[in-house]
Amino acid sequence: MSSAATDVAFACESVRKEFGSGPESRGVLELSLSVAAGEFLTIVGGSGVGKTTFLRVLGGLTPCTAGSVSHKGRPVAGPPDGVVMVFQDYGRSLLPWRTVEKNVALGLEGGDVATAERQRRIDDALGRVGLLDSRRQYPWQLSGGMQQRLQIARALAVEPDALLMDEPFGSLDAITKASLQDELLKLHAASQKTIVFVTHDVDEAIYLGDRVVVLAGRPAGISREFDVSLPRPREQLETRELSEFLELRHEVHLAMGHA
Amino acid sequence: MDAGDQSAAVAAQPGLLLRVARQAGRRTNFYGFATIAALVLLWQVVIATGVVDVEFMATPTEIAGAIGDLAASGELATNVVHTLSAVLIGWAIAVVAGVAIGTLVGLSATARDYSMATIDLLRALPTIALVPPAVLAFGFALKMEVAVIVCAAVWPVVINTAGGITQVPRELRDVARTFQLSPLRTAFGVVLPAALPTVIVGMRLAMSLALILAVVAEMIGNPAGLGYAMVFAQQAINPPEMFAYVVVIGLLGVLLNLALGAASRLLPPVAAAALAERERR
Repeated sequence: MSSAATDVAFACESVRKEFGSGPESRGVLELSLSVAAGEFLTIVGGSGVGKTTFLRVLGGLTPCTAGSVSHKGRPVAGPPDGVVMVFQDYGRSLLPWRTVEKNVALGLEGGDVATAERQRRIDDALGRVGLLDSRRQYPWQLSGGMQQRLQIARALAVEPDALLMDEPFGSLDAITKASLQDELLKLHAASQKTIVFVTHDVDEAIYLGDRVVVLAGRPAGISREFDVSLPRPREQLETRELSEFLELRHEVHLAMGHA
Repeated sequence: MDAGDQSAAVAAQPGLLLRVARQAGRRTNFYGFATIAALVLLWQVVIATGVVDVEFMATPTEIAGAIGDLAASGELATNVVHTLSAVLIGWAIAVVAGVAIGTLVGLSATARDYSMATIDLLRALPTIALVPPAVLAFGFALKMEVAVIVCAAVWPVVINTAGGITQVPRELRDVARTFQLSPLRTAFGVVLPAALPTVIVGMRLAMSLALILAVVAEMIGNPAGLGYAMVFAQQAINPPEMFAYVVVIGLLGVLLNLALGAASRLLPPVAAAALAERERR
């Protein structure tokens, strides 16, 4: 690996998150973790374990109670530059009164991107997710898979270093899910962006990730970590039939407490 | 907004508006109109034949004749203009003030904590009771009617604006945060447009309240406009003319509501919400 690839994107040291305050407070998260730049890290855990909370802490949407979180060496206090979150509920995350194209433009309205450059980035992002022909449509006219593609395009348009994805394919059907997984892998291979991807789907976590972290317990901590050395590019059929894939699948399920 | 943004917005508009117009055409309910026509016919027959014994009454044809006479003399137009200006001025002030207060209350938990008790107290007051004090404060004048309308119509706007803002999905606020939009851009570009369909509900409630209060203020306060003309016709024992004003006030309410509904669908968030709702079915 080159030295650039081993740079640290996110570093969490003794991060603790509590909900409530005083004697009523309860710890929901307690962990240390670092994510390398360009890494595709997947986080699995049962529902309600604190995966989303952890992702929100990384994205600066929720402050942690104790410990430190940094992105590229700078402490995270609020959403860091170059980090964008993709939400699970695409229906509630897109602006229904804006066309596909104008939804993608949203992320560029905060910065000082010139008009021509803005249009280039919108076209580029829509092209990457295959939505150029739908640019004048409204989100509610699109299928669920296309809406989630749109949310990904909107994130890509700001050209972030890191994407934080919260169960983005959780509510899609199996076929749509598989094609979006492959598109995301292609995107990662082409751009080497850091991706932290939360899911409750063990197979998805192994199929996508360079490394799988299992969150469990209360407060949630890292119960186990697995390096995934499956060959890339990954293939929906071949990769999932490899004995290494099946062994990992077995181990991850055990780590999650599935007997 | 730069030129590129605007041209994209303009290019996107016709699609949405055209769809709204088509939906409106398809929505016309002919069976509903048939029921109304049948009821008017029934009224005509019952009164003209004298089946039902009432002291003073008018048939639909007599009422239509009275409306024609009032229109020809110019009396109707004068009264409509007076009442309509009170309604529109009062409603406009209520909307501006209500959206401003509602936005503040919706966005700030502190403002909510301090103001909700006062708002709940004030909006629970029976608004008709405001007319006598308003007459003392402002005299028999248009501004008395406007004051009464504003005091009553501002609350639905405040409540619906604040409620609409607090009900904006958390995801949308998070989206604004993850893209690091400024507070102003978040408020005007994300939160307020998302709350707009609910704000419009408040504006429509305010419009019907405004008409009711204008008429009441004219009946028991300011001797002018449709409300006063109606009471005057009643005291002159002129049922056709009295009913003519009842009908005109009713029609005015229907037209104001329709106009506001149509105007609100020109706003992309309202049009999108309405169409998205319909496509979901």
